[in-house]
Amino acid sequence: MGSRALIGGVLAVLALVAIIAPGGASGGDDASQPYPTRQLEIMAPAAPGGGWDTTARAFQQASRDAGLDKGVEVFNVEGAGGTLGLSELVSKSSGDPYQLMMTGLVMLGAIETNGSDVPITRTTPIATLITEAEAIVVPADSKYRSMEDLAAALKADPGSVRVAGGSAGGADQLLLGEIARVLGVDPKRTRYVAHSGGGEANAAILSGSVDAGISGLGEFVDQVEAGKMRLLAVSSPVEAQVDGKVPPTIKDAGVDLELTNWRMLVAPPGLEDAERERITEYVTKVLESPAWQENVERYDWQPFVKTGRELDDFVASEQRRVQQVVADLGIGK
Amino acid sequence: MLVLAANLLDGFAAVLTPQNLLLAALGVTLGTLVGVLPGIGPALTIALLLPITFNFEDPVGAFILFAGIYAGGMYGGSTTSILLNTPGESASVATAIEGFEMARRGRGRAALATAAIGSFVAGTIGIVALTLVADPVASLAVKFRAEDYFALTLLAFASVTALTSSSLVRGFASLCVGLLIGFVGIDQLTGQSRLTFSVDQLGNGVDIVIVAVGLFAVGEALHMAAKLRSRPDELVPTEPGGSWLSKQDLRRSWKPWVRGAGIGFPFGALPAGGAEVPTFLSYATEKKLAPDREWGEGAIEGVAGPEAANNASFSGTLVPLLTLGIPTSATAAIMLAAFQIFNLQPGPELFETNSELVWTLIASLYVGNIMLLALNLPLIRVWVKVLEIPRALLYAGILVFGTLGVYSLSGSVVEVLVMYAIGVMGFFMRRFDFPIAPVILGVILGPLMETQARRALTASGDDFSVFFSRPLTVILLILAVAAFVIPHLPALKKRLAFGEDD
Amino acid sequence: MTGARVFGGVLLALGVVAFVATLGVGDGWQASGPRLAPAVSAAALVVLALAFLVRPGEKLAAHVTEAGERTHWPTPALLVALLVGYALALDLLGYALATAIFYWLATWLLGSRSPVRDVAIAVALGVVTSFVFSEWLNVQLPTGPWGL
Repeated sequence: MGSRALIGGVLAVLALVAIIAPGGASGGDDASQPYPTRQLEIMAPAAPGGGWDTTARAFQQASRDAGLDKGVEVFNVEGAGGTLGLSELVSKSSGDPYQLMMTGLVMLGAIETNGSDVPITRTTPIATLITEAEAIVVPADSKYRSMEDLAAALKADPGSVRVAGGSAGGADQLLLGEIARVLGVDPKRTRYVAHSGGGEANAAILSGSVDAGISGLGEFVDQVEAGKMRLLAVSSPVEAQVDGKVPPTIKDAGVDLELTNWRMLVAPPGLEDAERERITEYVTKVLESPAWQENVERYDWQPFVKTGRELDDFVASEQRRVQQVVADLGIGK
Repeated sequence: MLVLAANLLDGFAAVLTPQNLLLAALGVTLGTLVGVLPGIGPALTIALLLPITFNFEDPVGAFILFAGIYAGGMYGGSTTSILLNTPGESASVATAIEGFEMARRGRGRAALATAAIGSFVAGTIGIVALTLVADPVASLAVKFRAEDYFALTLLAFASVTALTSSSLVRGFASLCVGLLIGFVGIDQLTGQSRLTFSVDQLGNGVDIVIVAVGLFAVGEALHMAAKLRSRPDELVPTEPGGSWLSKQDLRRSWKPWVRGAGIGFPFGALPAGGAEVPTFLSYATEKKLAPDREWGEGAIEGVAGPEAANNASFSGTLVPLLTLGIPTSATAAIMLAAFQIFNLQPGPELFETNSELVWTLIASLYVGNIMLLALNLPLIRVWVKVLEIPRALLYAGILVFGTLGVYSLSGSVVEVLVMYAIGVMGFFMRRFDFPIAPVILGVILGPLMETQARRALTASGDDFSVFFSRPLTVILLILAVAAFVIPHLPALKKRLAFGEDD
Repeated sequence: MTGARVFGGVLLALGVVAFVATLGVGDGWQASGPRLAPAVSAAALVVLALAFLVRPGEKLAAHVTEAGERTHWPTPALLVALLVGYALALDLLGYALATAIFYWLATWLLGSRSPVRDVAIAVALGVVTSFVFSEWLNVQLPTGPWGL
């Protein structure tokens, strides 16, 4: 291979990179122009490939397709359930309307379990984007035929049901704790086996080392449709059909409770109300774009949009609820 | 069999068009260029490039591009391990041990070549294995429970204790230091902070890359600085000659390639197997099988084996990904997201419902491997030029490179300082003859073993019988005990024989 | 063997500190709890460090004793100081400038005697990596007060 061909190859790659890379125009913010007037940065406070990362990149792509931005960059700040990213946003980016962060229910849990000293209320919430329903499954050959069976077993002896799910204090364990509380048993007595991700939890359920599993519905759909797991219930109503039918909710099974794993975009603290409104307007426009709708379908998410005052109330109530469950479960410190 | 072959041929037919080959070449080049950058592993490379695939109507092109990027990214990581002693991701840590020693002795070209060809050979073996045994392996893999993983890590641990030094005290002290570093962070099972001393950034634990770059790169730079005055600046010329691998290198490499692939694939196929354990197992195996080689001074077997294991383990991760829809690594998780974009739902029914696409993907990976070899063997000549940089500039560069890698990995100065502290420690360990490898093993294996054991015990309610209740666990435990005892049998026998003489 | 004794003492201290720190973790010694494994490792390190302190020279490789005689301590000590300064300067001065300064000083410390050539390389290194990472790869590097 000649050196000319090599140079040609490198040039081709550089050209490709130039196409992918968003323009890096920067400058002051002009309030008379619609937000954003320059490049926007979105932090995904988790590893590439996770839920927050996927949502942030899907937003980035939709915003670009809709031609609503001057370049959006997504970057990852990994660690400690997202609380590292949170404290970085609050400490380093205060007052900067061009730094957004993806977050969600899981971060509320992590803040409580890690004893992080930065509450989510320090940020400026912009909008919730989507939710994923949590699903409760059992192996196909389990003696639990329905959510009622499982609830009865939990009620009789919460320690008799071994449950696999994601990280300690995440949405999965929160749901288990809430179910126990609603059933009137001590959440501390539940037997929860934490895994580092949905994949590992799936493997544990299939191997038969646990009696049940809790995770995002999307993690289980394939296994359920292949007949390897039985879907007992979902934690909030969903429209999609799984294995030919709409799955029942835990409420249908008499556990009076609703919980979804929602995700939202937040801005740093120290923004003026007008700035918050301009960002909200932009985010809402992206969420209304066909490109975003396509992504929501692609990833089997449920649209879930709250903004402004309504959002503040929602975040505050979810925070109280998470604080209560984490204390009930007696996890972290 | 015939059906499989026909399917694979169909896959190749779909892939082998000029346009696709160009995409593969682009992917490999892009992947290699990004992969050699510090702190950017294959997972992040693919995440950065995922949006381009939204523009492809046809999934074949996207797969091809992916396969190329992935193969290039993996190889790029090994390149920095070998040339600069700074592994960019956990899977290429083992490569750095002998690889950098080879490079330092003017054998960088052979090291890079054995890594590239080994990746190709192992990739090929892995893909053939994937084609033939995906289904049975997948059904076996999901039988593994936490207690079995514990037994398996114990077995791995027993097999690699050969890496400890002549002095048991120093070897085990190194191991304990590694274990303690491994335990730093928020406990996965309970969410409690351990050994973080209230430093938030330590909550995420100390990444193995931080430990490896600290011990290898920073420790080595300090070591060099200490001897600077007593030795003149010498440059080791790169070996002359036109071929990348000499006949002798090839003879020494091919068995480690095959063995490495044999170790890597099954580990990758296990949902909690990973790539770190098999690379070190391969390293230890080669060291045991050929103890007379120049270990610690650039034994080519120590590069060939782990590199092959690393690549085969990736083919292995495709088993649970494609057959069960279970992603077992960050890269696999991103690939899963990419599949969903093309309405390809990995899972138990994939091979029936979407068989055409699956075979196209497998063929793409194969083409990516070949393209990697075709592009990177000529590039070796360019890479080894790095070694001709004067020593002061090279080592200062390594420090900058390592710092950049750790910073872009973690985004914080705290991790960088932790890396320097580990480097200082590594320097003193070198000075007082404490072995480095056990530290790395402790960091990798300690938390794995602990987490799996505790998961098993949490599920059983602290009942230890869980480790003896299923044949699979018991067999693995017996193997582990055997691996601990057998190496010491000759010495034991000798002692007993002497005893009779007395 | 004083150096070896000091290092053994450091290991001992590490073990003790780690052991004490793990005592506060979890609420008991159950095998499934978070305390047992790190506490046992720390205790083992204490024992091993003590064993090392008793006989620091046991089975020492020849190259170690040889290296001990030829060490020039100020160079590695200065290099460590330089590294720490570099890490702290990253956020303060931005990646490009901090890297350029560090690289230049480090090459000089490591024995290079062509300061003009080195300064050119140093500046190029800082600016190019900073540009490639933040513009092409979306990896955020600290920018310092002047956005580079």
